[in-house]
Amino acid sequence: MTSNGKLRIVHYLNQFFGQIGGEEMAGTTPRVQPGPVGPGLALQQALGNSAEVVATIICGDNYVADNLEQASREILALISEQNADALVAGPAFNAGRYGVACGIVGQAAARELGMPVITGMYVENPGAELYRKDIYIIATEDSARGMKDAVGVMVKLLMKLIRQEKVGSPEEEGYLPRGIRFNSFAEENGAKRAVNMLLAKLKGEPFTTELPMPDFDRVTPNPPLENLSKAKIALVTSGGIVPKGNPDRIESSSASKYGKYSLEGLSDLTSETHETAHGGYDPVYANQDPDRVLPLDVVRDLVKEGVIGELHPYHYATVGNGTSVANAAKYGAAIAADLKAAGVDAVILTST
Amino acid sequence: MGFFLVTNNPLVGGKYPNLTLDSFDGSLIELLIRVRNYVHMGHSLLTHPLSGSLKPGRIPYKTIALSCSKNGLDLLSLQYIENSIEVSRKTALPEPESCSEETLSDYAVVDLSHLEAALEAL
Amino acid sequence: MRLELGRINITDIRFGEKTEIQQGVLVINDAELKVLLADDPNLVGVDLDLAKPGEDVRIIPVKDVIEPRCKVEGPGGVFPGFISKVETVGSGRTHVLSGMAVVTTGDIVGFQEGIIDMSGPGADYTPFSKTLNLVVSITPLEGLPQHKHEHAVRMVGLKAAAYLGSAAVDLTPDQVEIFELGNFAENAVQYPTLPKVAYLYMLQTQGLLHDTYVYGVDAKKILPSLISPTEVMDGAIVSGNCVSACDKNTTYHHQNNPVIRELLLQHGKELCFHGVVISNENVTLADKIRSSDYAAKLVKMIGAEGAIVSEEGFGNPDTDLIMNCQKLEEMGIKTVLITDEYAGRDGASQSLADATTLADAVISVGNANEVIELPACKKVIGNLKTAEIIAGGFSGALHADGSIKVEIQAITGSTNELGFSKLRGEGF
Repeated sequence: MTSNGKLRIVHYLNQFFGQIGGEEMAGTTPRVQPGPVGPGLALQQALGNSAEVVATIICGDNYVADNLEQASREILALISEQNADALVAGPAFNAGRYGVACGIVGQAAARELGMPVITGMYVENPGAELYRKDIYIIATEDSARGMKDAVGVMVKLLMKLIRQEKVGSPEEEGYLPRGIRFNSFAEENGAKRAVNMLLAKLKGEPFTTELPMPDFDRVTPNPPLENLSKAKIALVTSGGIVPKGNPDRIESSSASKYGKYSLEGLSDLTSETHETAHGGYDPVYANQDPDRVLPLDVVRDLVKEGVIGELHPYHYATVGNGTSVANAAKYGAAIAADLKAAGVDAVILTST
Repeated sequence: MGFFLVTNNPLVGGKYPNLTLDSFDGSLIELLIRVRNYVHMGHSLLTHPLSGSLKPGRIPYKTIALSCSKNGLDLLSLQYIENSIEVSRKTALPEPESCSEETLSDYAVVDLSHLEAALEAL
Repeated sequence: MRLELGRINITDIRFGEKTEIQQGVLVINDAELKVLLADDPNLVGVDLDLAKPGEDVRIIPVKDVIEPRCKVEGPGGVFPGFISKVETVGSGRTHVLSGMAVVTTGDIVGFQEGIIDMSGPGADYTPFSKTLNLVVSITPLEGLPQHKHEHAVRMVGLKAAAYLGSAAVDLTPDQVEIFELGNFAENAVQYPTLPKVAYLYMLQTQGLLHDTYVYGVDAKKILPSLISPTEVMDGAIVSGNCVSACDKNTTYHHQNNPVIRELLLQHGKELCFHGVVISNENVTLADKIRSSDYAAKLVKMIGAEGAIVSEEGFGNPDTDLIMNCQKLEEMGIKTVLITDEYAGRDGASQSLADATTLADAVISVGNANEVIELPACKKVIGNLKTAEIIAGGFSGALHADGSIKVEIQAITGSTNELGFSKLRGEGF
């Protein structure tokens, strides 16, 4: 509580919303500013008289992304100094690194400080997928134009969390479903609910299933190659194998791009020529021998033996780690278009 | 249809010495992985790898029937065996349970009974 | 077929000189009943106990629960194929001792299960905390094989229910429920504008401790068939299933199938109830494919446009459930599934062992892995040690003070997949 009896709220922002600067300031280390900053003003307005934004913690997105554990420890220390009753992070909308930062900071505050935490993200933000099980993430629009609505919904749920009131369903409260199942006693028994649902389904009226099926994105496999020895094969990986030095700066997580690299004159990938850009697995073995992820050596052998017709002279690489499904699909479509134009018949797609 | 059994149930070999068995002494998960290897080699599952309403991860013994013939990778078999491995891992206790001899033999009898229900159909 | 269920409300039960019902009080001649039940060479003895709602009593491990009944008019008798000779039931009049049940216990195998708490937090999860229960426990011959033991307990329960039921032969029921359904040709003519609905009723049939009987026939050996809803309500289906207390259908559940009850209630109003197809949940994949093909075909053949499918058990039968759903939906039959969930103690895991995107209308009767703390009870009928090894229990579940920590899977009927109870799983 503040001296005038208000709840103490700490607000977490990135360098951009924290008014420090754009991408060039993304390496900024964590810092504290008293009172609300930027979107904090809207937050304060929504909180009204019962609570006060006592401090804003601002940190660069890259600083968090590149030093996940250290950054979250430092930020956590700053939060705990504020003697706060709750943490609000973001909202991060569709900003991937910012979303992950809000998630990791929120998760740490909830876990280590036992503090009510709320954040907001667009459903496709990679931070949403990573942290929706750990903290309440309000579903927002994909850009800051949704700020006002988001903050209102966030505050409403935050106050419930602070008061330890029962949290309603995702639809009622506006948070992204955490995929956690709980039991309750319904008004009617299961048989009656089943008959009512069937009647609605038969009449074409809306109904809500009580158990959504897992989301499959099943792709029907193409017919098999007729003759491998005449086929042109390409190598594509989400395991991050790139030429040494990572010329395109493909991010270690939440990749914002893919790369296309020549394999001309190469018959074996080595620690001299290639490395992995991937930040989601232990890179030691991939860096020792990148063929372990992108099997160029054996494919060259198979071409020599006549098992495979020929190898497409380029390979394509991105990093699957935390990359949103929508982005991954986009890269996939672009790579596929390129491969088709080059007359490639089939692809060996490796992951990690 | 020709079939063979993968089992870690000690009762099966004794009762059915004439059936083709891959009988071994190992955990349930090891058994399921052994079955998965067969599926990858082209054999099809003939019995569902989950059996009964016992928690999959707690069952010490299991017997699974596979086709002798190999007809390429059967995707449905692969899906069932993978799901079963996942469910078994999910329901396993953090530390293996120490069952009494009596309980172990009950598990073996129930597995045998499920097998016998299947044998009538195979 | 037209079935009248004449319900005699039982307001109390006690042991006494003569088995009879006096102003709603069931008096049981326990000595006579014991002699009757013990008439089995596989049994050493039989114990009888009473457990009433609100009492500080725990029954464990429960095998089956049965509603006592007797046939007073029409063909057939109670539990055809077991107690009465095989003859089609489901018409005429049957009297029911309403508000009471026979509960059988017995640890047939070391990992058996089934808790009924008559009071406390566990009581909310089982419908049988609200019934006046006659608990039958048996002592089998030393070394009796599990198959025979299961059979002996099953028969003892049915015999006890038939014995008590016969006390109601000459009584006037407190209320009479009428269940009636014509054949589907008549239905279609009578209700041309109402949607035609079928019920696909899955029965657990995987072998020892997992069996269900229809007119005495082991249902794993059937092809899916049509059955009249009134036959089900008149005791044609008997449970031999003792594992996974939460989602096994006890004989009581079959006798009072809530899906059938609800569909008959709505028949001629919101829908036209076309029929019930029973199917099984077998061990081999070929059987699963055959049964789901056949069941879906029967539903289609009788002209249904919509169907409710109820599962029994979990894991393996999830595959039957999903196959049934897929095949019905692909035939254009709008389908609603009833299932429970195994989403882990934290509710964060995948709920079913199989899935299809066609299952867009699912009723969840609860996450069976949810953990509950059951305080010690003054009196335990059965064997409390069982709590440690029962399906929903886990090592260390039984505390020194007699309290137990278990998943609700261990509680009889907690997530009944006929939708008998009000528990529901929700996503958060």
